[in-house]
Amino acid sequence: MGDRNKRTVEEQDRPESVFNCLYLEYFPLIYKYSYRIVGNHEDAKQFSQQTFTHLYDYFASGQVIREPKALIYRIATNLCYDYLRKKIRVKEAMKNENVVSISNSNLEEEIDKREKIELIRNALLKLPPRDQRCLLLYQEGFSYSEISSIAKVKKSSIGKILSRATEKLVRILKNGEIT
Amino acid sequence: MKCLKKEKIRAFIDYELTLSEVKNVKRHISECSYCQRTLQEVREEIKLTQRTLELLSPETVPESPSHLLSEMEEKKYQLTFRKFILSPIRVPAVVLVFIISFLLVMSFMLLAKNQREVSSRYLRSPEEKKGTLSFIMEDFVQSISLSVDSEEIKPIENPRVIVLKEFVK
Repeated sequence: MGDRNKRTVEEQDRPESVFNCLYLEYFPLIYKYSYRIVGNHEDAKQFSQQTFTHLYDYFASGQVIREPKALIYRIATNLCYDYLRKKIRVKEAMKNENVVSISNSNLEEEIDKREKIELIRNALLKLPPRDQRCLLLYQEGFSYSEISSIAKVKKSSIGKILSRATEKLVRILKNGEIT
Repeated sequence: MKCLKKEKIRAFIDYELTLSEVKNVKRHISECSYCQRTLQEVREEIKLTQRTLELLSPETVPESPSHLLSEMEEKKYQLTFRKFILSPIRVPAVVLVFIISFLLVMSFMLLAKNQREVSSRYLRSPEEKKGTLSFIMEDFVQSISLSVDSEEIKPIENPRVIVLKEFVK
């Protein structure tokens, strides 16, 4: 993963082929990441596609992209959190999640799992957006400096943010503060 | 030595400390039972959070859809066209070319109009063999309210011819 992070897009590389490689490699990862934030397949698909459309614009404008991975995650994070900021739509997203059909075989198990996921998502949404971003990016395996560049937070405060956010999330989950 | 902050212990776990910091933290933890407990707690918290957040992941992740790439290809041509037309240097250049060509066309039109006026004024018919100068002179004479019969104007004879004529007499 470390080598991928340091990959730079040289000017002499053909932008189309670089874009195609990035697209094939990162689309599933971004899909997964977006899904964690928004919680449903439709939006995850939409935002991951939008992420690459924006990335394409970067390539088309002829800018040299030093850290493509960080850029891709930054675009995705911004798109997903812009969406989440609209609270009404967040509620809709949660409703949609419940509406999705459940296979009959393990009905109870499935319902338990879905409830659990919703409780976790609610707990996560209780944290400030900045902390959520940091936690989710940490979960993706990014280093502190990468998190700071993607989430636009000072590198020196990443440790503090992560430490407090983790503590708070664990407390919420353990104490059952989830509504 | 004071006990370590949680964030410091966290950074130690995440391999985000410098070598000297790591040495200090290790030395302190080996001596302080409180910090040993904290280290354990932080490790467990991280594990729990990671396990929990992993549950938010989708069960299935689709492959990169190929239709998006073809859409991008289409977009590329549109963008190339727009880039060519609206590039920061080309816009003023194109405008300048338009202005220059407009001015050139206008000046040619004016020249042609002027030429037609001159010819209609001084060369009324192709049979008139008089030079432009004589017409200009007529106009001038008319403008200063003098009437002169143009036939009366005769070329001045060469003084040598006059002398010769008198000599012959």
